[in-house]
Amino acid sequence: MEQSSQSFGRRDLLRGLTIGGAALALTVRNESPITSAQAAPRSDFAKTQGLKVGAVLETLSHPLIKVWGDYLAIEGKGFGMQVSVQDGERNVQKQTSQMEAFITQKVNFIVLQATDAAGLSPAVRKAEEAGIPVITLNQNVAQVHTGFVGMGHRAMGVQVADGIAAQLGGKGNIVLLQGVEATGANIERVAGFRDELKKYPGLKIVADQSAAFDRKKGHDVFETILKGQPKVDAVFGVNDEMAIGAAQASVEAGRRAGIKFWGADGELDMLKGIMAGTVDGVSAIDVLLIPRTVMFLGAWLMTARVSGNSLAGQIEIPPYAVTKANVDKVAMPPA
Amino acid sequence: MLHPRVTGAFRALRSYGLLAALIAMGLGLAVTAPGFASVGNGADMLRDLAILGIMAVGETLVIIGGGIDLSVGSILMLAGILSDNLVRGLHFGPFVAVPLVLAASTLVGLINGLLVARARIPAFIVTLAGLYAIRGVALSLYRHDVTSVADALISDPTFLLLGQGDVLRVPINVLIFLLVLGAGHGLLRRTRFGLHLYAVGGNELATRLSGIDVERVRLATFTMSGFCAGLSGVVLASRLQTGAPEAGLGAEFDVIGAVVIGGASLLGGRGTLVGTLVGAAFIIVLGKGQSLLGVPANYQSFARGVVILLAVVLDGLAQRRRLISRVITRGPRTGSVSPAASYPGEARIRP
Repeated sequence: MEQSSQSFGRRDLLRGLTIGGAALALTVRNESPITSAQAAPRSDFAKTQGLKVGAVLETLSHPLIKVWGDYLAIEGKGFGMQVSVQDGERNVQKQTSQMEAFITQKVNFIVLQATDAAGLSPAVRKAEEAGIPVITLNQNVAQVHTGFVGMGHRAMGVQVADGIAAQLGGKGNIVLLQGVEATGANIERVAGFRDELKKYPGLKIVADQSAAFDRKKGHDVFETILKGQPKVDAVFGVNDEMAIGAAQASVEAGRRAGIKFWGADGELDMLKGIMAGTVDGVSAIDVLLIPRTVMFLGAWLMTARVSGNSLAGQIEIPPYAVTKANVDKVAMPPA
Repeated sequence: MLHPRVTGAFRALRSYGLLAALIAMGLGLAVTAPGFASVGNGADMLRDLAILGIMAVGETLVIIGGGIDLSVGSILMLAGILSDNLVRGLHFGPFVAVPLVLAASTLVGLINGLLVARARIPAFIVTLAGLYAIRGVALSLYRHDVTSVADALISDPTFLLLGQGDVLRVPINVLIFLLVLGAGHGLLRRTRFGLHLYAVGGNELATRLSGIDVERVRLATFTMSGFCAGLSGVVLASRLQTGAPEAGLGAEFDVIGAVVIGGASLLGGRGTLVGTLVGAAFIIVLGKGQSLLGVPANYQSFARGVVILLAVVLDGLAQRRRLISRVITRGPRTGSVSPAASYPGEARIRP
């Protein structure tokens, strides 16, 4: 139709478009009875109103996770859902027990931020077998389940390795502060980081310890490492909290200058720290995307009548590297 | 009041009171907590009870002997992580791995016992040090080889039966618990060792003077506690399909709580495994009920504290009556060996 209209004048083109448009409209109208026949009658639409959602989070004493808990409830309320948020206290048994309670109460779906990728797997399997879809939030589990929404953790590890290499010119001593070792985020971020470091033979990991994703522990562990390591050029805190804690320890030890501090997540304190120059870089995402996407996915699953034992999708939100050069251009989270 | 049988009746009344409180709480939760009175929840609670209960059996023996074992949570952690390393990491079959893990846990218990009984260091200090030291060893053995979420699981099907399997719809870990409980009960009630244990906890000096090897009895209790905590750790690793390092953190408090609620005296010489069973059930039912009611974590913790305190206050009242009776009669400290009063060996443990 396009080709023929070129050989006619403008009026013909208009006419052609009109006829084409009308034909298109007719086709659509002709099809419309079929579509409405396929769709269920309006009164039978699955609703999100009044659905019960159980959310089991890693801990509520981490600023970012606290915000995620609040936003799960807020977003859920927007869909008319009741969201019950439980503090998992970074304990597998506690989280398992909370999952079991939600299964017993027959909630419509469960949001889980697993503190142990293996340890929560039996509970996830149990929920899915009971017909309750599980969406894991940022911390994946080994058991195959309905949905995952989280950061692209492996990519974050790669990004931090590249960022540190760029700032150090490919040469230096690195301290790795790991989080809770059994979590999906820690496993994948560390794996990505180590893989990417192989590209930079001049970068060496001189200390590798766990500080359990905690600011205070990050401070304490790095304080000790500093005493034993005369030369540290960069620190990768596998989450922001540990990087912030470690940076504080370096200030107290009078060794802030000459050490680059990198984290991963993108929480408010970290971005503020980059602006103020207390830390040096982070692999981040817009953190509010996570609770929003989780609740959207939940609403979609419910209206699509997905009921456990299915694999609906894995959404990995791609991270971006933030340094002093671009920190004024990124989204600022509430915490 | 002065006769041991009378104080025995008082204790019995207390433990029946506890049982009545447990039943009342269960009934209350069945009405108020959604889903509490369901078959699924019953099975969940039994599995939780098994893991806490196996540890509590060993702890009860230690406490009756006048000791305390604060290291059970760390031994549980160690056993879980060892199981994980052997079964998942090194692909050992469960028939090799489980005995190895149990042997290691028993050895840890034995070391605790040697330090308490032979080196004469107070049990509180030994096992507090153990709590930290064993945790350190466990964490240093913790998996560092996992590079993707998918290969983090223990998947040996035979090993998984321990924590997840059923026999005739009864969870296997519950059967293991009943076996351990039965063995412990028999040991306390039907053997000379049991008799000696109450005597050691009740009046160490008198027991020593009557020619019983007090150290050996103590050593045995800590060794058995190590074994029980290790067994509990193996079962938990099978249930969670991993050795979870934080699973043991604070477990010692639930265990000691269960034993104390169950009527054992921290001063030694008193306690039964039936009481411990009820005490452990109390802790599990309370926790599960609160979880189902959606009680916030800090209130859950608060309520648990209040329950333990109430149990200990009751215990204190019972103790005081006993002490008063002693002062009045100026008699020997025989009250504490009264659980053994009906046994033929009674005469031998009196000074």
